[in-house]
Amino acid sequence: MKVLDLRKVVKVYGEGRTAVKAVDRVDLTVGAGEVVLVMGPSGSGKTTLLSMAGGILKPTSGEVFLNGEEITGLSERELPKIRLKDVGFIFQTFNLLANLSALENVALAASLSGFDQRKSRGKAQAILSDLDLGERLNHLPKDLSGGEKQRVSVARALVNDPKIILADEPTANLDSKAGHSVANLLRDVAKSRNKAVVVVSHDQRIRNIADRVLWLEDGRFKELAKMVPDPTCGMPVEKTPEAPHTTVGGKTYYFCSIGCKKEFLRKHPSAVPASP
Amino acid sequence: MISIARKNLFAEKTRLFISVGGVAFSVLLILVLLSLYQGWQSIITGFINSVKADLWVMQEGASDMFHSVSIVPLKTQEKLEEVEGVEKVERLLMRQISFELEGEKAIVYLVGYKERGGPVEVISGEGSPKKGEVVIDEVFANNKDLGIGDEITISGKKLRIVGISKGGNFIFSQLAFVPLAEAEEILEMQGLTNFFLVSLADGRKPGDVAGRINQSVPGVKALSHKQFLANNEKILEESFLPVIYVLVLISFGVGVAVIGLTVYTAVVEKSQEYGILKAIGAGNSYLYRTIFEQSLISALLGFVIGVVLAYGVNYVASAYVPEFVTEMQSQDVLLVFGASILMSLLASYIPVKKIAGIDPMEVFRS
Repeated sequence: MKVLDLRKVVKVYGEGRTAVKAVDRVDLTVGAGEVVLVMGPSGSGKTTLLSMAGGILKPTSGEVFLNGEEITGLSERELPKIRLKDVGFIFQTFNLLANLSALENVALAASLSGFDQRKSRGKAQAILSDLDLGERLNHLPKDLSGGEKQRVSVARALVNDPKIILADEPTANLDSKAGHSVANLLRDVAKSRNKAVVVVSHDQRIRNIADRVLWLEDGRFKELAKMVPDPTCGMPVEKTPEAPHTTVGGKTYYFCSIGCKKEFLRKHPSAVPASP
Repeated sequence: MISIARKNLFAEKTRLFISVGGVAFSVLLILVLLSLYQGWQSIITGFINSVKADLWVMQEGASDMFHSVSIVPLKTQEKLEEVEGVEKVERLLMRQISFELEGEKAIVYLVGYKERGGPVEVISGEGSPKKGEVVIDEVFANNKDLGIGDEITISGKKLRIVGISKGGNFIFSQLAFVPLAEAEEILEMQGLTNFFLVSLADGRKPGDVAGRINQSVPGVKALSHKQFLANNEKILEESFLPVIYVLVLISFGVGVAVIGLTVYTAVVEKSQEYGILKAIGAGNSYLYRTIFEQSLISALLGFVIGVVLAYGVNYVASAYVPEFVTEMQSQDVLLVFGASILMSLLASYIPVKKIAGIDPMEVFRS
């Protein structure tokens, strides 16, 4: 079942000469129970894509369908309801409200969608306990570890039982152990709760839990099969004649930038420079 | 619903203190000003009300006790007594007079009376002075350090203080009561009077009889007790109310500005959190309610503290400064309560505009 369906989605920031195309005719379909990882260099349009998928940002053109309903044409008054009930967001910096306890942070999302206070707290407590935070219910975010904060954030995203979870760099601020734990939690959420999960990340660890990995660059998806890692920074790079590259011992290396190529050439003086 | 407003407000103690303190200060100022005004008003009306007269008759052109001196020939009394509906006519002498007291100038509002027009409330000593005696107001007594048994000399007449009364402080001067004959000599009002106090026969309407007096007795003006009271109240309304209104408006503005600024800075500081709330689906109306709730809590706390402080200030000030006569009226407290709610509404306006402009994309810009 298609939960998210993006059709020829374009996002342009600015106008005229200063216009920047952040997302360029992107198609993406994500089904229930599927984990899709969107990777790409900084400024490639990942966050813009995620924002349009979640109804935070309106595309310049194209269509966004959530649970079969087109949300592209919804007004600014209608979109918050979609974000509240149909989408769960997880953010890089957790984005918990500082003066609310873990329980209140989660219960607030439930009460915003119409549950009374008792029921909201009940739902929040149940989901936090499921995520092993039963002992930390009344702690303020400042008293929680990074991993715990992100699990509270996951609980908040799940409390209204949305069909899709959109996560923006969910492990970027976590240490290795907490990062693994959150990555596995996202997979559990997709598989045991049958949610569509879209993760935008640079974190290679998430590749292990993803059903599909997409590479977004210059606002467009590129085929990962046609990509090789940059030998300097490790970033996947498309094998095209336009990409910076060089040959050493008969093997051609591709780079994400001229800087990475120069760095490589310093270490390998015998390399045969090729343009660009 | 979990109240973010309350949580945020009470988590920032300094800001809460400033916000609530600003409102409390504003409420304190407004209430003290209004209670001072009511206090002064009740002093003037208190004395006139204590004089049981159906009609006050005075020189044509005069209309109250303060604006112009009323001098009416005594022979007018006979003409008044002849008017249909008049049962009894009595003289009342009232005039401000200065005299020397221990080398300094002192001023009293001397009242010469026979039956009606005596002290409003005697707090010590005698209430009915005889020849050579005087009853003075407590404010005058405190200011001049006078007590029962002391003597004052007015226009060469020695008067022994036999009583201290209250309710006779006219702000600029205080009432001093002597027998009618004594006042006649001191004020040199033989054959003259300032006012006639008229009692009506049963069932007569003050307006009707006053009309007949005004038509048939030349050179005088008869006013019903109610009208005379209103004319005197009007003096305070015209002279003090505009000043009080300006001060009240300034105090109100201070309250609005303090709440507005503190709530606005709280919104700016928490704009990321409001962005989060918008991103996860909170509607603008919820966010506006949050802002209003913050302002309202500050205003209500400030109101309660301000009322308590106003009572305290009035109590302490009146104990040390007798002229500081205040009267806190429930309708003024209600009015200030309404003003506090209005303050919170007005103070919410700019923060609400700020919130409306927050982009939920803020959540990704960490």
